[in-house]
Amino acid sequence: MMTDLFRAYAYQVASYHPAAAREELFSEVYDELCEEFEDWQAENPGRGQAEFLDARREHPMKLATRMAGDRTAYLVGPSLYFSFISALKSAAAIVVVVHVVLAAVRVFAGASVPGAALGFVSGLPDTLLWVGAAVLGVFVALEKSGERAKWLDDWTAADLKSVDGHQEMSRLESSFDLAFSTLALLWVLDIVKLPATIRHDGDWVADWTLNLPDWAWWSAGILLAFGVVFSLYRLGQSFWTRRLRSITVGENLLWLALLAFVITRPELLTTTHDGGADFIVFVERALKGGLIVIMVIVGWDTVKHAWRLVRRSF
Amino acid sequence: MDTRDSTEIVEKLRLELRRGALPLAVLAQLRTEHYGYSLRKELSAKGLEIDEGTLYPLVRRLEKQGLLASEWRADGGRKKRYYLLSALGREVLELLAVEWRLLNESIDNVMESE
Repeated sequence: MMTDLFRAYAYQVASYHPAAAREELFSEVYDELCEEFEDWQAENPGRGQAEFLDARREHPMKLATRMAGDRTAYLVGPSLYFSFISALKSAAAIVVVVHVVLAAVRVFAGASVPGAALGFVSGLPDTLLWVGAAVLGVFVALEKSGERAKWLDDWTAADLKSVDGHQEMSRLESSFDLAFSTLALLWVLDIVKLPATIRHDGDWVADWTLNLPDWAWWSAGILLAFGVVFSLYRLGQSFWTRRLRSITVGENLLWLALLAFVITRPELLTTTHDGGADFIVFVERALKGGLIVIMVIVGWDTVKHAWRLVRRSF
Repeated sequence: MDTRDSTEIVEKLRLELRRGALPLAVLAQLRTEHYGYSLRKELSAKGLEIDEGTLYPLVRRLEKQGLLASEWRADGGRKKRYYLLSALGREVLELLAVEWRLLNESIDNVMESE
């Protein structure tokens, strides 16, 4: 199927604008492109959408800027406005993820959940303010130095990403994956520790061990490190593609295999605590039950992505 | 002052002149109904090139001021927004046209007296 580059271009122009204005803006830009292309093709027979865009259009962000009626923000002028807004959004997303991970680390380290939540709520605005100020500082410096978003000049139609029938990617889902993978990786690397004790019959069972071979720990670490990088990459994408879905299916299958191995391990947990052996069996069952729930969720996610791949509806 | 400087200055002043005259041209052209691209083509055929990045914010502003009415229609799988002068727009256009002619005459007089 041929990609409709005009849809991709119009989508990208509209994506820089507030959500409420996007649909109308998309329709206007898309119709303009189609109409102008028909006239242009009469003079340039046999040439396609990509050649037209390269000959007649600039980077979508530049058109978005002009369509916004030369919008400005604080000390940042129209030529850098949308670059500035994009940088602010990305920085804010990363700050939120970092704070979620920090709050979870505090809970694992023994802080109470309300205390960690309070730390999250009180610390987030401060960091957002500092990061926002830093981003603003960079853009004001660019503005003052006469920089005119030259990075947009090298744009060609080949940079456009198809939006035909592609499902939009949820930033929330990518952020959750990022936070979860980061946290789990920190735990596997022994940087964050789980509560060291389990209370049983008034006693604290402190010396329990998770019995897994080294290769399983290594595999989990590598998969989690990959998960961090992959979810960071996904945060910068707008749509699912065949490649992204295939990678997700591959990653999920590896997780399912690893989880299946862990669940079928006899004596996953052991303890030397007196009288704790019976109790640890109960904890192990609960842990394996939790892992089965995770397997079902991962399995469902795998089926969902595989189904889209089979139907070629990305 | 070298030639390059004067060319730059003329270009800036030319843009300013055009910017001031464009709303009048757009209002006049929208006495008959047009969608974005057909409006651009009509204006271009009459010697007034205007790019989409200038036209769309302008018609949106004129519509906000109540001078234009617009309507979305589906056409061959695409959506087009048609614009037409409103009653208030017609009134404003008449007054602006008088103002434009007076200004033209005045400028001509000033230029000739030189």
